[in-house]
Amino acid sequence: MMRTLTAHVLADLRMLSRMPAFTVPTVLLPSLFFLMFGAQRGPQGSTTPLVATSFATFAVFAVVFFKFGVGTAIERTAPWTRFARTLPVSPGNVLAARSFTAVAFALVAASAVFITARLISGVGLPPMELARVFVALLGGAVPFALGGLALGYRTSPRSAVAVANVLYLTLSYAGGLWTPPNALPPAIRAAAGFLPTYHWSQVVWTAASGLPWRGADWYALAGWTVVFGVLALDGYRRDEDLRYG
Amino acid sequence: MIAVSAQGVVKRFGDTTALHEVTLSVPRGAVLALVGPNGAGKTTLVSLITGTRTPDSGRVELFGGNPRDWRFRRRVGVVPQEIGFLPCLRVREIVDLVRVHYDEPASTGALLARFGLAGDAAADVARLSSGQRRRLAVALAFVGRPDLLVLDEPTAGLDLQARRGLWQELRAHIGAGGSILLTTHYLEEVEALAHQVVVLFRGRVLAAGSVGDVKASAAQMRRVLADPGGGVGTISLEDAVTRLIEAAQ
Repeated sequence: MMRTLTAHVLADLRMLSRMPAFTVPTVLLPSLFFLMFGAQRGPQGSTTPLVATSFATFAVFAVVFFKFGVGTAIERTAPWTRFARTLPVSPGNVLAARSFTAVAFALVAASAVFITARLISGVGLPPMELARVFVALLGGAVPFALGGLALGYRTSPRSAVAVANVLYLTLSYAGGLWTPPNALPPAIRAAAGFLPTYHWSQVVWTAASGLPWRGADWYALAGWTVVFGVLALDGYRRDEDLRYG
Repeated sequence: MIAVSAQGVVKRFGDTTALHEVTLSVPRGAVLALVGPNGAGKTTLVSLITGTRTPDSGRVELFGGNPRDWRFRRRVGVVPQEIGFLPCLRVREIVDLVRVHYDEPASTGALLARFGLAGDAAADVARLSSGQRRRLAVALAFVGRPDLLVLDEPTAGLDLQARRGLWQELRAHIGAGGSILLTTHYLEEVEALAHQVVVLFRGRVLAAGSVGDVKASAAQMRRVLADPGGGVGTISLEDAVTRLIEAAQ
């Protein structure tokens, strides 16, 4: 079991790392965005690492949403997926491998932002804060991975890219990943509290600031996990019935 | 020992019944060819046997077990009708990925050499020609040293030399006690390889038996249709299948 899981993870990592359409927007673009827009907000001081956490969240969002969203939309219709179902391996193994790959890419993408921030400001987060930030990044990514799956099971490979981009950019902006929520237009600021990205950014910022987490943010993320989980499960069952029933 | 058994299998897609009460079995050491026009139900039957679909009624068994249970698929190698590989991977990497699913897989180098792909081991799968892709798909079916090969139009798109080369591999597989379930539109392939033939049309079995049995069925039909000149010796398998299908329309 471990052998097949490892092989699928390695194959997935090889495939994605050779795919600029995936690596550029997920790994390079958030660091570039941080350089262009985020680094200006904390030029000399301690705010740069805090701003970097927002862009790291944006990076992890890109990885999980595109990996599970667009990736699922493409893979579920691919002939290879059908062939892989004839191999002596449980389909759950392939999903587990996909999750490991997403975590690996998420860590790389987030680390790239923090390294960029460190290089330009010379200031980084203390190790304990950094560790809590990574917990918040990965824990808060769960509903977005499920949201990606829900999207991937409901869209065609072509439309998935467009829909994922619209949702990803809208939720990133309105949730305060690029601009602090108090700097957003009033109408958007009022809506931000209902968005999963807002609560994700809150748990990441409080971790980076060395403050205790607010339970309300985690509860909101848990709620979104249930909502997206139900949608993902429903999409999975419908797809299974259509393609493998 | 029966490799594949299908008993009274029915499969529906919405209002369309793709398979009506289909029964067949593939004994160990035998080649069973499924023939019929497009839409006959061949690929649907293959998908039930390989566990990628489930029957609405009836029973399909793979080595006595449910094909949906991945443990019963350890002894099976599959060539699907529609071929595709994981993008951006090399030929060798694809073979190595499939190898990890089996306890005693064939060696990658030897397998690629057997199927004329030794020089393409480092090639990106996207750069392979359609014939090379087909050969790689067939090579993947042999990776696990299977007891049963399920081949859905394995020679479509192959040139004559490659097709003959594959026939040799299939004969060697049978010689070693393996079994094959084959779908094809090339009836000379059936005559060259198959021990048993099942003619499917609109999801129903029109005729089943040896190549001679199927020809005899068609010849019998010709006599019934006042064509006394038609005997088993004078009818090709293609004529026989065509006649059976025309009579069923």
